Amino acid sequence: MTEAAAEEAAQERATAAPRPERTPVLDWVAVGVAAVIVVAAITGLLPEVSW
Amino acid sequence: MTTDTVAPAASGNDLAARAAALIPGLLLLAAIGYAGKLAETGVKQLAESTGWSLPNIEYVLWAILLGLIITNTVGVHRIFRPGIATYEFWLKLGIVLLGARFLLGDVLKLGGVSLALVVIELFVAIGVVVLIGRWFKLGPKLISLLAIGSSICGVSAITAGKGAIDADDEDASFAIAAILALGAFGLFAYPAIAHLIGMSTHEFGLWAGLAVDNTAEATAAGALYSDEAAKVAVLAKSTRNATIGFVVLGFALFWAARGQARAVGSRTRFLWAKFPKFVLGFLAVSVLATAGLIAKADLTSLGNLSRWAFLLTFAGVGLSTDFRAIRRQGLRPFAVGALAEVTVTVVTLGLVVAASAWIGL
Repeated sequence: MTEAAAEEAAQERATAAPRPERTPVLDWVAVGVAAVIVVAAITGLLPEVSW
Repeated sequence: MTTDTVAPAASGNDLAARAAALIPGLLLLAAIGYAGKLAETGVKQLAESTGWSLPNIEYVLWAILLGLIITNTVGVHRIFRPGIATYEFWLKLGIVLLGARFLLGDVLKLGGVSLALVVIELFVAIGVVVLIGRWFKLGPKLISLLAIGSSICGVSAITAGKGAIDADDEDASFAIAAILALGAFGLFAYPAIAHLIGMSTHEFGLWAGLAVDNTAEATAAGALYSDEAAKVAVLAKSTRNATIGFVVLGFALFWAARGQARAVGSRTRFLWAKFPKFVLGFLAVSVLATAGLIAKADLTSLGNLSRWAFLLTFAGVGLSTDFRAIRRQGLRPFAVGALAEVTVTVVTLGLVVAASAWIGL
């Protein structure tokens, strides 16, 4: 099997297997990081962020 | 004793290795997102300096298109995949911080309207998918997953539903592929339809939030229309996401009663476990902003941080949409999803137009 075919097969396997349920953990991590940022904003420690 | 002293070091190394594995993909997300932003500015400047009439293409579309082109032509090397998968984290962080740009009164008004429309949308989407799925002779659990995915929030809902109703991995893959492909289509089609019929930003945001299944794609569809439409789309979609526990619980009870899924146990605990916690974060930030606890300049900075987080999300949406993988999943589940989406699209459009006429949006 060539490297390209092996890569293709690995990709197909990855597509066929749905991701594990990581949503609840991810939610809490996002809320935790956001909480740190918001606390920094309330205490005046957040640097100015432009767009 | 040796094991005791070695184990923490090993897990620390493991954590460091996992964090390091995120870096290439994160850099790719940042590069594509920023390239999208530069492309928007560059085209605008070119139009101004030359007087040419060039289309104003938003950074959102550039970021998604660049990601799509890379994934579907040269492909994405596996070294980038862990970092690209973080786009869901950036989406949720962006949504929580977006709370800073909402007054609680607006959240309650728009959220209330959204909730009423979401309830109708849920019944329509589930009913249509079940009917069409039976007509296409799909497996009953695949029908359940497609119904969960198209009625609530796409991939997260299907993943949650898969565990709750003990569905096969293959069925979950079919349902996820169909929902993502349809979302990618909606991303481009919905703003075009809205421009054609002249929808307001609030109307379009509400429609995108009700009709586009994947949260990242709903946010992107809104942002393609306007910044304000993206805000409303996120709010409407978050309201829809908040119902995930009730819908998955309904399906779990249905399959458990037939002895084809585990018993549910405590329903309250089930609902809390499935509830998207980032919605609570969004509400908490909105409360703090409304209470005046955050200075105006800092509110602007939080809003801008939210935009940067969404920028990474949009790059991730493009990079994660592989049309070749979708084609491999087969046509029947896709056809069922597509027919259901068309129905949901028409029904939700009607609901939004009616709500706008009756109560104003």
